[in-house]
Amino acid sequence: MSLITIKNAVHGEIAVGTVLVWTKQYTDHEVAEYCELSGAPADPLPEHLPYLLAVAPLTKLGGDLNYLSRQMDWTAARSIRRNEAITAELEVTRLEPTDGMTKIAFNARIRCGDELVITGHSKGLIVGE
Amino acid sequence: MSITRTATRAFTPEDIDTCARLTGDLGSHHMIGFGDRRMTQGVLTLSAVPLLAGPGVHMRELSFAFLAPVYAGDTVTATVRLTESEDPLLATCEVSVVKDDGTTVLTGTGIAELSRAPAGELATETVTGGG
Repeated sequence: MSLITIKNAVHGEIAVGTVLVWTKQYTDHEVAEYCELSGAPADPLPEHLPYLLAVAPLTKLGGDLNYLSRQMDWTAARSIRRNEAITAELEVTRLEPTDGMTKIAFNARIRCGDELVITGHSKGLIVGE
Repeated sequence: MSITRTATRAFTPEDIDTCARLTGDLGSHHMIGFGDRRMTQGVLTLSAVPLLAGPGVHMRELSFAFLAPVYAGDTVTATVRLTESEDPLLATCEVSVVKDDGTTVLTGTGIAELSRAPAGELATETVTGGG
């Protein structure tokens, strides 16, 4: 049985079991910009990251793959404080090339230090590669 | 008891650029697009949903299905319906995002942990419009 792999400009060769990792710590200016983008009040800055900004590092990793999500499920143990460093992990659980696209699925995790804060799953398509 | 909140949002190429810079989501379908039509990031589309992008709301669980693309130039109406649970600080939520042409682009469900102010609003059924 051959191992299916794809090549990616950012993360190199990717197969089932590959874990993509990226760490982000938002500046107060970035949080304020996001609040402005989403129409939320930015003065005073929120104590905790807006939920969508907390999960955004996962979408950064997806964007590296030109990933188009069809389904996302997340469970969050707690809110993430504004200045916490976030480490996002996407573990590839399915990789299935089809006509001009690749079906892909992930286990998703957000850690703050050693603490697992958000877990989830996502599935969809890689387009444009 | 429940509350329903609705908001309308038009997305611009500049919104996609700002979202890309803040989140790092530089997927080619966002930055270049399909046939010059640039697709919004999922986080950007979800930012139109009332409460979801705002402070004071912690989503314990969230599940979304992305059903159709949203492009720069599209206008969407996002609706969230929060329903009281046995715990006064928790609510179940149902989310939908619909384009001007009637296409449903996103549906979702979740469990929200509310700050005291929004939770108090569950005492009455209200419908709020806004941008």
